[in-house]
Amino acid sequence: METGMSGPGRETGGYGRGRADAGMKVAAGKGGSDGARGVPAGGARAGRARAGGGAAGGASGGGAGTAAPGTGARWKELLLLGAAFPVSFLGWVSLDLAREGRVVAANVTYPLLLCAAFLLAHLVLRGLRPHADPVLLPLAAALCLVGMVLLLRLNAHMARLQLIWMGVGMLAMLLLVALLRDYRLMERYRYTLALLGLALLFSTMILGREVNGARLWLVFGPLRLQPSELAKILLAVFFAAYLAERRELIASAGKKVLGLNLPRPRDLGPLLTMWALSLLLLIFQRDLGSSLLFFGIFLAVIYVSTERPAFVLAGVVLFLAGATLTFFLFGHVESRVKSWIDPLDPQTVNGESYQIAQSLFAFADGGLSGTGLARGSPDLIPFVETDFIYASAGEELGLFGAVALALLYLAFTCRGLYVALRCPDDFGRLLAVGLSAIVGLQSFIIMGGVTRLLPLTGITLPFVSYGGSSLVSNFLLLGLLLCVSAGGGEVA
Amino acid sequence: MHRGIKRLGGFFVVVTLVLVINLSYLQVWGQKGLMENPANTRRLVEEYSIARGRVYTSDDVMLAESEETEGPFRYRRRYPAGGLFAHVLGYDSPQFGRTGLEDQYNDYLLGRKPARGWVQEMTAVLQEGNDLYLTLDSRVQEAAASALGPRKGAVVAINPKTGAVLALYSWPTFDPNALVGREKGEGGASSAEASMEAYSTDANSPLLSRATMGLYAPGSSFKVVTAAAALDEGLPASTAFDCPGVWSVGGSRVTNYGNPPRSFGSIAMETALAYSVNTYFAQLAVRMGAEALVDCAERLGINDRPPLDHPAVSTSTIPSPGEMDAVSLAWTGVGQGELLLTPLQLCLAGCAVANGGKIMVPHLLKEVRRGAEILERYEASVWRSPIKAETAGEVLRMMVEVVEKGTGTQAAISGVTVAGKTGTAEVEGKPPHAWFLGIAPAGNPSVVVAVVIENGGSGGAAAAPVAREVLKAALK
Repeated sequence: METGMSGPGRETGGYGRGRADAGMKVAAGKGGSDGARGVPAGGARAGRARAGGGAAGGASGGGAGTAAPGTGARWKELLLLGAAFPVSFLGWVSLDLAREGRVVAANVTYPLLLCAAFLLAHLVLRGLRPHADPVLLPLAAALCLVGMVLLLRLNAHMARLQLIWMGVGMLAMLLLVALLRDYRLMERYRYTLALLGLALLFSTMILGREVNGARLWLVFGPLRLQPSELAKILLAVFFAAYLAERRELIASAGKKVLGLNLPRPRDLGPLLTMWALSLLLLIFQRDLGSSLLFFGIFLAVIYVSTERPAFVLAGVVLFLAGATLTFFLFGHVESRVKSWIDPLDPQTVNGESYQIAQSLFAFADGGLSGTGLARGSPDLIPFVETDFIYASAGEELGLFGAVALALLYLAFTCRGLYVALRCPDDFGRLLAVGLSAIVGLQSFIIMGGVTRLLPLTGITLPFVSYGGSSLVSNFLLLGLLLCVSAGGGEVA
Repeated sequence: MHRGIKRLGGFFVVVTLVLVINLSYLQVWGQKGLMENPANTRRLVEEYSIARGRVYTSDDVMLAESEETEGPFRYRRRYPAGGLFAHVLGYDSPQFGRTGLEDQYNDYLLGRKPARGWVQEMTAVLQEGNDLYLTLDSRVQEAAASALGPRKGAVVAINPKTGAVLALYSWPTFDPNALVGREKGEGGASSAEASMEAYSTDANSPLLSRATMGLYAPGSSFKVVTAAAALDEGLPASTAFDCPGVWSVGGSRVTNYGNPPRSFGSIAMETALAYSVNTYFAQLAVRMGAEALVDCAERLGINDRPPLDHPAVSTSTIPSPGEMDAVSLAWTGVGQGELLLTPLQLCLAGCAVANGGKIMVPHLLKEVRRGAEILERYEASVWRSPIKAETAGEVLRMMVEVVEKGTGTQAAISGVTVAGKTGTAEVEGKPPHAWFLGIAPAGNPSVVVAVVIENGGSGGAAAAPVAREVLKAALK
């Protein structure tokens, strides 16, 4: 079995510069939000790292220290967590003041428990994975904390459940980090994982229950699970393993036509398979969001592994063709597209496009600085707690809040890609790319959906939307990224 | 692979940038258009999630309150007095908007005014509005309604010393409760829409506030203005004219009432006002000239919107002096020219007479309260001083004669000296509009009332008794 240890020399050699250096440039340039600055290797001390609003931070991650490996990273993580924590307490105070006119002491439970959980996760990482990336956990914490404040404002009952799910998710993440000593183990079980992922995906076709027009749910008594949330991670693992093995074959062959290096027809196999799979999803589960997301993750990974834009181009053309086909064949896609083109059409504004129109009104109502927590009317938007939570952020936190959230996702995605850059083996690198792409694409698809940049698709906003399956899956994703960043051979 | 990863990162940066630009469009540049979209009910829902303040009369009768309902519009207005105060209060409906005082004092009723301290503004959510206390007296208003009965017309009563409006009534009226509901009837149409449709197509215009918006020829009631203008111009009350039944002017003629028109011989102003002698006031108008007459009328507020704190107020009109020839000047002097007055405007002219030549700003709002706390109190102020104090006293004295022995005897109240002036405005092809302007007590006036009854007949017979009942109620 290929281990991928041959990777780094070949990769970096081709560009003639050091890996760490290249990585730093990405973190500083593309992180884009703030304060990301390069810290020379070996100089990573907690006291020198700056935490900028909890959004992004220093650059140098695990393995940078020489004298006390890893501890520098963990101190940095603690500092960044400390910068993220006030968000939730400010949210709690401002929410209570707006709603009750006074601060309700009992409500401190929510931010307190959440911060304690993240602190605990930090301590566990300190013991288990001292070299793991120090920025990802604080970014996830910032997102979770914002999400909790928004949910607390929208629906207290759901906020309580969310708190429990966050606990479960964090526990799952820590278990994964503890048990998966070497992430390359997953490469060996790629087909098993792929089958499991597919089984999960298509389980709802047979066993699933239709909720709001999409067949996405498995129901066990009081529990409702959305298996596609977990499936996307398993499939990302599979893509990474599969392409790490074949990338050279796929990347090198083919001929140049009009400047594009066209792939050989047989190398289009995986692309066509994924295309068919996502179309199946679209048709049978009416789940435009997941379908787009799967295909997007696949394209991201195949592009990174081959560096051939032709794959992306072919993929986009295929997807559009497939979507057009379903547009003419299936009513639900058609109505989504119509709502997208003119959501304010008087014919549909109180019917099919009600949700998206209300979402746009919510953003407009928020303006630059928002109405303030508990001062807007987000309850006008159906399913605001899940698919449309970003609209409630836009309304009550304004353009500033909405942009801050978008930048948090960008920071998380870019940090994930930075982990990929620093990873020495192909599998880990592609896995980190896939996982980062999940967060980046999923957040963009839903944020773009509720702001009418893209046709609306019902998927969750990672770490922020209400939902158990979504939260647990996102924490598992974070756990995997931490594992990759910590390096393969590291044992606690 | 490095290049691929970096390009992927670049892709996400670009995508985020596009998202931010789109957000800026929604929340900043495109904000106004979205806010004004007719399908956007957010503003309304927000406003109807607040329990509007209650509205009370000065004698503590509740006229409007908000009650909680189901649905996105949390509160609904209820008007316990029904049609009695409908034109003053207006209605507050998510479908048809706001009218009347509901519109005028919306900010107070929603609790946005008076502004609170910034700490409170930042922290406490607005959930209750402030209460309005009006100057209207429910007993005077009821007296006006019952005295007018089912006759089209209007009554306005004002305290001349403060400008406080005591009664403002108009018939036919409407039930505001029927316009604020959102229940769906058969076929999906709301009952409020059906009511609105019925009201707005009704030939009797029940939605029109005749007291403040009804423009009528004032008839003889305008002689009060002609008299005041003459006195102010320096023509004394002793000015006498020979008053035949018919007086020829500029090829036309002015006639007195009666068949044949009654002749009075040589009389002074007092007798002429008491018996409403047209040929006297026509000569008086011609003597003083159009400039003096129009100037005085304009000083009294005609051609100017009265500053009543109510959105539905019409401007009364008199033609400019240049447009008047001798004939129209003569007819204008007796109130039959191209004049159009609202009952409110006539009442304000009466206020100048009653208040020593000064008109106070007419107002309906007395206080704004939150619970027992008085947040704001209306301060009485002078609107204008159109006529001399001596003129006012002289006209008032002459108006007492009208009630004591002239055309207005029906307005007399035992034990009280009432001053008044009748008006009978000719309407082609229909019975005349009946007017009465009353002031009481004449020694120290505390109430001025103006009454109009559309096609009601003679002012003395039809309008004076209505004025009497209203004056009696106000003096209690």
